[in-house]
Amino acid sequence: MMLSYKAWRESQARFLCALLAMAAWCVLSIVFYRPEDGGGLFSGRARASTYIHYVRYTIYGQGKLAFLIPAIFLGLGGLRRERANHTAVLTLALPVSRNRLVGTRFAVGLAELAVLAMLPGLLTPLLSPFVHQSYPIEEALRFFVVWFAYGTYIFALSFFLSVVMRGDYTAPATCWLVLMLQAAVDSTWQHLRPYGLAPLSDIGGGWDRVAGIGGPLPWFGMTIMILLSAAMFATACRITQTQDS
Amino acid sequence: MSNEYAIETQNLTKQYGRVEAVSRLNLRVTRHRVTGFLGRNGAGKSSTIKMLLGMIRPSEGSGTVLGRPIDDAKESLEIRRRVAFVGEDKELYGYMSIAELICFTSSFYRDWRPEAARRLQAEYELPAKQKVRNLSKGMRTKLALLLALARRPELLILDEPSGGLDPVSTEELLGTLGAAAAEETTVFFSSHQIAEVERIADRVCIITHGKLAADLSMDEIRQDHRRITLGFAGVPPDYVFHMLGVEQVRFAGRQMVIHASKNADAIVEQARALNAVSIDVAPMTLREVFLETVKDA
Repeated sequence: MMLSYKAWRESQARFLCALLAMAAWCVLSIVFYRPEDGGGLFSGRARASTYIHYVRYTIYGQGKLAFLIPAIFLGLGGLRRERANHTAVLTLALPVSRNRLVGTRFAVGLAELAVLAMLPGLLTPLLSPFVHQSYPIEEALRFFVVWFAYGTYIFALSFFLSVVMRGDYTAPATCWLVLMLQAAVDSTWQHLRPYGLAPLSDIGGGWDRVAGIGGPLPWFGMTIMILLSAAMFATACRITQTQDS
Repeated sequence: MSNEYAIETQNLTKQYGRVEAVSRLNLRVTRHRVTGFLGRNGAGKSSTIKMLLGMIRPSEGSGTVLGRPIDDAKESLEIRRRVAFVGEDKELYGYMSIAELICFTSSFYRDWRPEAARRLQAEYELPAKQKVRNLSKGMRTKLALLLALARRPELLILDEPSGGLDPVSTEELLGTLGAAAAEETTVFFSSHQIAEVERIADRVCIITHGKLAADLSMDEIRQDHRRITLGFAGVPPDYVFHMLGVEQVRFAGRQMVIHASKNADAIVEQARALNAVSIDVAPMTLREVFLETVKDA
């Protein structure tokens, strides 16, 4: 229990900043929606035909960065970072296994990620009546599932990289590069797109643009992402076992 | 491995790349005693302690702490449950307050004594709500000591415990360590403050270049170790002492200085035959023994 508290305290600032940014993005997007031309504060020149399209474009499309970037930063930490802060010895002197240390940090990060992924899905249906619109909860749930699955992959990638790489900025920069590479592969070989293997575009509703609005969720891609996340977590545990303080 | 020893290592080795930080170390720390662990900077003290606690993996060799092998992950957990440790850096979680850190640490140990924690907190004047990151080095050291001393561990391992402490706090610490030893806790501590070691240790282990150079009881040092200084009218003879107890012979101008670990009377007898104009025999302090041991090693 106290290990979870430690993991929470270490990621608290990053999580709360992300939560605030995401909440602000959702609230401002909804409050400044202009039904007469289908635009809003963050939609630029783009115009949506319906409110649902507007929410998809603004909150889940453009707003994906407010989720992607925190997912990367929530994954950072671990023994290497503790060594840089000179607290690794204190942590390793505790009578807990290294697997438990890694597992607790992963679990707390996933819980924070779930809250972030859920936030637009909670705020949008709740706030839409204030601008005389409605947003279906089923659709919000669909986006929650997609965000959480792809977010887990991004979080796990960052988590894994921060276990193996030194330096404060190396892991997030490498994580971003990997995601960009996946997006490039996805746009080059378009026949791969229906499989939903590019988190950067799929998290913003990319799969929907292939399957059509309301089409099936990218289950194949999400399953692959979850399996990859589990593999990266297991590898991070193994590597941490052998790391010196 | 024997139950007589709280710590026992056999050929314990740690390599960092090509550098051998600890080299075939054979260390024995007797239970219920205070043992000082001395060595120069980089001699391998901290690496040894980290291996004992499972923080780093030995490259070769083996060891036990409280009878449990240090290279077994499950046994290492039990070792850490029964050992209290204060590290060299004294860096603690800066984002926690003192009260939070005490609460956090206490949750991991069955031998935590809340009344001892409260007493030490009052004694060290540690304000509960103060953030750890805002503490001075001395205060952080006190807090690190509190987290170790508020327990009743079988073994207390301290790496440079008095670093950053003022003289009054150092006195209190030495008193506390003495009291812990009286309660049958084995104390193993590294320090550069030889006077402190001399005051409370029963034994000292001196490590140099990762190897054990000496393992002595303080009684042995006081009773047997002697510095024999022979003065000559001219250049001292190039005589080689092949006698039991001669640890080292140094030449300084017209003097020959012998470090004897035992057998001082017989060594003096033999020295007389060299026609020395003066012979001075003086007891050695731990500082002198330490310097003689590490100087030319």
